Amino acid sequence: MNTANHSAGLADRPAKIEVRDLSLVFGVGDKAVHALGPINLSVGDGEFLSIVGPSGCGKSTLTKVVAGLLPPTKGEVDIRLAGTSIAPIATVFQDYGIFPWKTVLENVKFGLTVNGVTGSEATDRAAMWVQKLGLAGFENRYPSSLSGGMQQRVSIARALAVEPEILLMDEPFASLDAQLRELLQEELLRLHESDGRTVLFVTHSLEEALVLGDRVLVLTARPGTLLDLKDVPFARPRTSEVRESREFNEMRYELWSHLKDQVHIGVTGDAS
Amino acid sequence: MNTATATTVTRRNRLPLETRPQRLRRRRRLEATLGIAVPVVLIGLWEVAARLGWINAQFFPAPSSSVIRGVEMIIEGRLLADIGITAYRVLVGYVLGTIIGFAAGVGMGMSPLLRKALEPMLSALYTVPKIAILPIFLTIFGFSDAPIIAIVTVTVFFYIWIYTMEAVVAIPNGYLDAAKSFGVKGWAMFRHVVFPASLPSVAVGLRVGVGVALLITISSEFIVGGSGVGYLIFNARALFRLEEAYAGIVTAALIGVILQGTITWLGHRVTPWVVSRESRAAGL
Repeated sequence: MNTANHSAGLADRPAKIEVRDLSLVFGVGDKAVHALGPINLSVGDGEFLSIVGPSGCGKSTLTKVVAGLLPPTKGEVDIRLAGTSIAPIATVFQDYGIFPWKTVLENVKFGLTVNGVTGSEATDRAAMWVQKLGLAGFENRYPSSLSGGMQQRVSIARALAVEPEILLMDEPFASLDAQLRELLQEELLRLHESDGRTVLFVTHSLEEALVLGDRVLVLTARPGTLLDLKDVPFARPRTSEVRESREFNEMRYELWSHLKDQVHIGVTGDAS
Repeated sequence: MNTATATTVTRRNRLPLETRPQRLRRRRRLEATLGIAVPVVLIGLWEVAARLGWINAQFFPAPSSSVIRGVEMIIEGRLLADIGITAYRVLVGYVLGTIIGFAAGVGMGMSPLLRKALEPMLSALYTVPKIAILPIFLTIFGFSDAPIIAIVTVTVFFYIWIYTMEAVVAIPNGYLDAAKSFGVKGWAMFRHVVFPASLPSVAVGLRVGVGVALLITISSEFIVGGSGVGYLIFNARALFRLEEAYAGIVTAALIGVILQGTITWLGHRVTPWVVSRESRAAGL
């Protein structure tokens, strides 16, 4: 991949995910909650799209629709799959992602086992990802004996082990402390830059969104619609040092000034 | 009067017991000794009181005479036969009740429709004291093992059913979503998520259930008669041989301890990821 054109060439890439007039409403009648949309969006093949927005704006809902966990109320989402991976889409969740009743290795193997990859092939593949995410030596431990950061590494390893075409990450680092979060961000940058898979990354941190993303999608307060869609100009390979630059901070400030009103609407809207 | 006096509060370093091995060992030895000494002393008191006539030895025969009678009963071959019969009734009923209860719990936990159809009825039946239906089973099956096994099955069923169903319903959506996002459904969902996620709670149900299974068996044996540890205790009363009754009571308690211990051990074995509070505190 030509890293110099990484972000500049986004428009030319074929769309991997095409969101058309997507709306989600939970419940019916008086209790209906309009959670998301209508929203239109096109995510390029190999793009890292960060999604931010005020709490309850439907960021997670959007990834759940792509994951096939929620059906759209209106509109459609087209996902163009090459059919090359063991499981086309994998998700990393904030909580309850990994199974406490499976060891680290069993967890990483899970996506392989249930998709027909078994035996030594599954073990070898899982072991490789265990290694890649710095979990070697912990293969036979149960998640409850690991730190939060380690648990999230297991979750990422499990998602990547199936070599998905699309990786969905729903606030994966939200419950980690700041230092650990930066460390995992670096790792994620490296992984993404080496494999170039399409990533939807939901976060509540503008900083995280800018460090990682090719573009940042900012959603309005509920129901979440497109407020802003910004190209992130920083060249790849990127390190998290990018956050020290002036440009970075100006961009973050600009996004925050847009988002601030929405957060306000979200808060007062909920309170009334 | 109201003269304020300034004081300094000093938090002094007081070494915790754990850091002083000698003191700790002495303390642990004392605790272990007390645990054994208290019941031994009480039984000794009972023995002395019965022999010296301080208490009515007909109601409270000296423990030694109960032990001797128990040993005699073992030699006669009666006690072991009764233990075998009682254990058989408990275990067959327990296993049957567990299988049916688990199947119903998982089915109703996973299918809202099934839950809506069966839960009101089962919840109503749950409140019926199970021993109350023994006469019905006696009429159907006659005086044999069958009515006892049937009533144990029904009792255990309710415990396992409710523990399983509630565990399955309470599985956090996050686990189900994580599996669904890999395309998992049906049998694989049961095997990889529903079954292991509900197992710790089912293990609790199994532990509670085995105690109740023994209780129901002993009480049914009072009524059905003929054989079993329950009958032994009840019959001893009728013959006014309370040493035999005490030997039977201790036997019943031992069966209970062994069953509970085995089920608890099995429960830990099949849920190795459930870390006990103590070992978590120890940093494991």
